[in-house]
Amino acid sequence: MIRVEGLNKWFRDFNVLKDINITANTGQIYGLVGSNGCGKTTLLKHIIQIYKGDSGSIYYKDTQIKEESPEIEKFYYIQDDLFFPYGYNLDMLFKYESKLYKNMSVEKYEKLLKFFNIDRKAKLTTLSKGQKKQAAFIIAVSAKPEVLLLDEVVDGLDAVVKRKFWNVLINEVMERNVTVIISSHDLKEIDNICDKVGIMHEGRIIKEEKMDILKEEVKRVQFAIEEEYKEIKSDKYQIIKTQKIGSVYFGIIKGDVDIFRKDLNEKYTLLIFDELSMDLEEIFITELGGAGYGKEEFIS
Amino acid sequence: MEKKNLFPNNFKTVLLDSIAGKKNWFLISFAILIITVLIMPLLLISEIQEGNIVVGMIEIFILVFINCIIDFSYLHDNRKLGYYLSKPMTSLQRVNITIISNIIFTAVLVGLLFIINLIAGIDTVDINEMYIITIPWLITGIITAAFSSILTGNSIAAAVATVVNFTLPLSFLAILNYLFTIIEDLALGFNANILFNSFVDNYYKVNNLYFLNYFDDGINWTYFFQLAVIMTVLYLIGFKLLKRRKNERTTELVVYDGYKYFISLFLATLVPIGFSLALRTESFIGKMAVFVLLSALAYYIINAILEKSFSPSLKGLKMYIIYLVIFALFIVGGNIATNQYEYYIPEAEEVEYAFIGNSMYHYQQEWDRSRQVYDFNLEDIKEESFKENVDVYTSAKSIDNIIDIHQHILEDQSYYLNQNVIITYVMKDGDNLTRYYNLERAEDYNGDYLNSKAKEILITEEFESRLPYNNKYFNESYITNINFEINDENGYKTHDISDIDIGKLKINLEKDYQNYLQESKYSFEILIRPDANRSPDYYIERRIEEDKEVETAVPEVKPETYYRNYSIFYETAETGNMKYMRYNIQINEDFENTINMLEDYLNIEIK
Repeated sequence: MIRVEGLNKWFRDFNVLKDINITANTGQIYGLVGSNGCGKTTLLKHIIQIYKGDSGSIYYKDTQIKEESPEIEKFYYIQDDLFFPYGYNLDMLFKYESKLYKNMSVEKYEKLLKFFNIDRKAKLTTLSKGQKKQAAFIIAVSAKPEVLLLDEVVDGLDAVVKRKFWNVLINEVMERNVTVIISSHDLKEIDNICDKVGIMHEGRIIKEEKMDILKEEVKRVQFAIEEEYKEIKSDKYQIIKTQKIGSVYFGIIKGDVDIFRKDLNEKYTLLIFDELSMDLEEIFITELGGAGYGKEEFIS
Repeated sequence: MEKKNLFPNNFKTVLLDSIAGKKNWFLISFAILIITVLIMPLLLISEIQEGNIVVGMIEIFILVFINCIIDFSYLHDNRKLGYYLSKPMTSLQRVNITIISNIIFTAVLVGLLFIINLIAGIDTVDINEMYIITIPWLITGIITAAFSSILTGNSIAAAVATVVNFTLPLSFLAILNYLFTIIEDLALGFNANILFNSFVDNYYKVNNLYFLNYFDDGINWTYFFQLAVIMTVLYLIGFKLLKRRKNERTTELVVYDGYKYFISLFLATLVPIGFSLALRTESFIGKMAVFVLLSALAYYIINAILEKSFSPSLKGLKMYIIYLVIFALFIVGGNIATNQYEYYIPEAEEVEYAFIGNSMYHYQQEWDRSRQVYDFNLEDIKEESFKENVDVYTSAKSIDNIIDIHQHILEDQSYYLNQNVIITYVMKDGDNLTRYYNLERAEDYNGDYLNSKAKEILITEEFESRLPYNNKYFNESYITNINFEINDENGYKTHDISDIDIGKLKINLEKDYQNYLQESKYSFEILIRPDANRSPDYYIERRIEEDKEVETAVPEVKPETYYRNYSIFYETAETGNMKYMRYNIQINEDFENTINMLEDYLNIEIK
């Protein structure tokens, strides 16, 4: 289990991480999503101890993690902007990293090479962006880490390779109970894979919840009434947004949808009412909208 | 449990991997050394000379410097930093591995150069000393490159910082010298050069810091101890810095604010000091105002470069104000500190011995490895060679007269022409008190007092005993070669006078010297500059006339305006403990007896 407690970081006068508290349980895939520049990469770099926080702590299985902690050997970090030692091919990189990671598995490496079909003798700097991501991922999984920190790892991959990625990742979690923290802009991708999600905005975690609960919390509804709709206030639910298209109203409701339906029924003549589930992208936009992000309208 | 060791568990494997990564650098470095130090000299001049070995060492410096900067460049690139620091090896362990692999790289190159050295059969003191000095420079240079790379967020900045940090103790000399010039301006009797030399000789031993003292001393246990101490100090600085490094500032020129302000203020101090060497200064206030203006301008520009912004920061402004306050405190403190010593003259009873002379004479009074009057002590006077080489006054009467002269100069710094005087007292308690005065030309100056006091010193046995004709080696039994040299408008002419009667020459010189000392109106000038190559009566009066002429027109250069110098040079053989020496007796055109004798001997007209 990875736990971040009260992490704060200032880049000079800019408070880039504000009291971050997250928990990724063992065997969980934790999705870190957020607006551009919200601090996702910075948070991952703190977990792997590249950056040092101004306050707060990071724990792995209740042991506080520092740069010199032996637990760091159990972590593997793939950064967004990849680097490979000059002149290395994949075999050379595997050999080099085998000296650093005790659990490096040749068997797994060979299997993954075959699965991803990457040229092991090609200079890594000559590979495409997607191939580099696959190469880094092969090495990371071959190291058999207990914690995988993946920063925008599927960015730039085609749908087929993405699918392969998720297959391997899910397999690792199932087989070895690996804890994965993955940051991504591709919300549709991680929607289907994450157990838990942390939504970041302007250096804060504005929402952290298990995916199923998150999806239960916010719902999209569509309804039609005979009268003109006026907003209903209740402490059992919150109407985040309503929009009328034709004679049908569309709304996003946080809270108890059944009570909202009942209230509608009491106040108006309800003709149609449908409850629809939301995907992560919609939840993300809703949550960030609540935080005032992306509400601006372009006026030409 | 946390790993707190300096090296990773798989140290050997990682180190070997790091060295193997230098394979291409080893090959290119070997090629450079073998071609430029071995093959090229053999092809061109059929032998390898000392100079080629020195060139090889310079090449090693450049190769090691480039290697260090490249190896530490992972600290200056976010991608590399992210990759390497995410691996299970601490930053300290990685820095240690890099330092060690570079030391091994350096040792191999120095070893190769040494083998070439052996092949060439060069085994001179100079070459051996080169190794003694440069090996610690290379090792400390590698550690300096390490902590400079930690301090900076950019490889070019790291390279510059390595050079700046390595030469920092030397650069402080320039600042020290400038501060002493301020003391000189503030206080009568204080001279920047003397203060600087005295400070550097006694306190700020920068030569020792750079191992230069081992040129003379050779290697002993202190050499290794000093190397170990310097390496430890530099390493600990790097260690402390690494612990506090803000990796998120990678790609900025300087990662630490403290170092950024330090380097800005340091360079902002050096810039006006550099300008002050080129600018003529007449007013102290003007000098200080120019210093503040130039340092402010330099500070702003350096900060703009380091911050990559032309907007001045409030913190930067605060730092500059603190710097100015410290500078102002130094001026005020320096003024207060020197005020109490400015007019201090010791009592005659407190003085063991004294020296008086102008700066040119003062520089001739070197003894025991360039030690000069400001550094003389009670022990020196006990040495026979000190008495032979240095003109100090030990008699109570002469010391009294020097004190009177000193008192008079404190009250009045005017003279016939612009001149300077250095007075040193070595006190009975071992202290050394040195004062320097600039005397300025004054119209209708009356030098009766100074001249009368000086004449009392000139007629003492102590003064006479050191006149050149009294030198014990000015004797036929020692002299192997003797020449007379004339330097006039026609240039230098040397005449062999090997068969001259030395005894007779000595008598004539004594007569002329005695006459010169007795008759001269300018005894003080003789006292502070006793070489007799110019008669002060002629020299001072002509200078006064020249100065008057300068006021109206630039005088035409005529043959008669040349100074004529006459010198008798003699050499003594190396016998027993006495080394080969060359002595010079300077005379002037007033030395009639000597000149007549030489004219008769050489059968020429001298004057």
